Amino acid sequence: MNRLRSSIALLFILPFALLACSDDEATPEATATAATATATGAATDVATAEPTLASGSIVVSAASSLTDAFTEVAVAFEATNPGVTVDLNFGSSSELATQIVEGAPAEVFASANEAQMAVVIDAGVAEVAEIFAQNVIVVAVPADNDSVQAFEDIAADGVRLVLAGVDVPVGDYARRAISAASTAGVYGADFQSRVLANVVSEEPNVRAVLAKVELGEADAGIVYATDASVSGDAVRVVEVPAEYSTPAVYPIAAVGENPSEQALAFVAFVLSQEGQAILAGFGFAAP
Amino acid sequence: MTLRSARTDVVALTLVVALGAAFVAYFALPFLGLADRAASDGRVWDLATDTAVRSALWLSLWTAGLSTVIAVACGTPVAYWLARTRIRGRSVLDALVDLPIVLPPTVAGVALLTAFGGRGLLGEPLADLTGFRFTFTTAAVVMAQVLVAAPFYVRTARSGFAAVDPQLEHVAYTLGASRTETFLRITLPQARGALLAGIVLCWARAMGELGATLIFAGSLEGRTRTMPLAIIDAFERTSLGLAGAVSMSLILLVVALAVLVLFRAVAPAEARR
Repeated sequence: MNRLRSSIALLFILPFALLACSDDEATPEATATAATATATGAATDVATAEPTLASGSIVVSAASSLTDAFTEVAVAFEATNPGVTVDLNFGSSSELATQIVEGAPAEVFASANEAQMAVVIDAGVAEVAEIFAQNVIVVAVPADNDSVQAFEDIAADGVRLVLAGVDVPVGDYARRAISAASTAGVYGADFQSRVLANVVSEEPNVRAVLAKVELGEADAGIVYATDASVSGDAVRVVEVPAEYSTPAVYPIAAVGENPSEQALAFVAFVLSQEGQAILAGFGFAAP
Repeated sequence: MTLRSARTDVVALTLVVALGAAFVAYFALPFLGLADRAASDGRVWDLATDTAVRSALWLSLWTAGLSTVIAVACGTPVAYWLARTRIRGRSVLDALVDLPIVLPPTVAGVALLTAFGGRGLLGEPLADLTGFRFTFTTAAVVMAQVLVAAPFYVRTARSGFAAVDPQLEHVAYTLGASRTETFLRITLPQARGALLAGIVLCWARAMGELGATLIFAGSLEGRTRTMPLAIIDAFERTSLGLAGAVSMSLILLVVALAVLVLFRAVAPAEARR
């Protein structure tokens, strides 16, 4: 009776407990939808520096895989440019490209591939883009799950594999690597079909793929090396052989016919030594 | 009626009509915008006959239908009990029914994982014992829809039952009717309007469910990719893009509207028997 009572009590407490701990597990929420973060730097610390830019705020739309790196880049940029505020808007590159073409306010666009940057440039919304970083794809595996030890294991029977959607850049890179490995024939000519048969879900962005792995729901997911490094101990990384994977390139552009000086300065900052050092700290390779 | 009060009426009427018209326009414009975009895209028909779209639409229709049936079967007793019980802390129970409505769907999805996922309270022992996991299955789609949509039915049905005069039930008992008979012939017909409204709300919410499904069930064509998920996926596709997503949204709206109109046309005839 006592047990029944306490389990009933638990049933009522549970929803509140879930609400309370939702903060810890909010990663999928923050990634499933485009997350907006505002980085406010310690601008006052560098009051001695000559302010060269007019004060104001700019919106930077960046690919989900840049979430952590750009948050730090923005803080550093704000520190060197007092009075300038950077509003960060993260989402999948395709989602962001659509938003920008549809007239969403964004002064800078950083895409995880050239195809989505091309969407924005073809629409005439941005003029020139520069490559600022490279990334490689890896297989992320839950730390306590040893069903995948090598790249070829993602084709093993019963492995629950999660990929990003077909046209999401990381999903595209993953499928190309799988196809290249299949063509090479070292894992058997049916490698691609065996891998694709293991796909249990196609997620809208890279962080959603990673979340499924972190939660232990998927046995493996293909993400960027930089994302896998963010999740730390929860995730083990299995490398995709370099001969099958093409590195992901990240182009950046100031948006608009006459980009604001703050936007141009932000782009220059990302390409500068300081910006590049921050990106390298998060595992990105120089262009 | 004096001239002055007539003038007040005119002013009041003009104001009310203006507010109402603004409200209607506010709701009509986004739908007109969708229709306009879809029309200029010109792919609505191609997409309506596309196998991926059809499979998503069909999956949405039957899962939302099943979720509604589950909500009605399990929710009706709860709603009736909530309407009639006099136990202490009833307001807390009422609030608990509403809780899933407040919960952002994505959090609802995470909550489902913590309970039924591979590492969940119930999910982990289940996976250890049987090897079965709810995550990434069509069952997970239905579970997500029930969690998010059923409260809409329960709270509407509860109000409906509460509005039925208990005296009527007592009269039926004194006339020798059994409890079952009384419920079926007195209570149910009296609460019919509310129950039907609850069913419509629940089904519509289940059809539109996205966040919880994406987290708990994932997105795979034919298995878990319902229409809202397919629309999000289309949005990502360079071949479909925004225009394709808009066209698919229009297809979803038209089909949902057809189902709702059909339901309203059929429902009263059912109740007349």
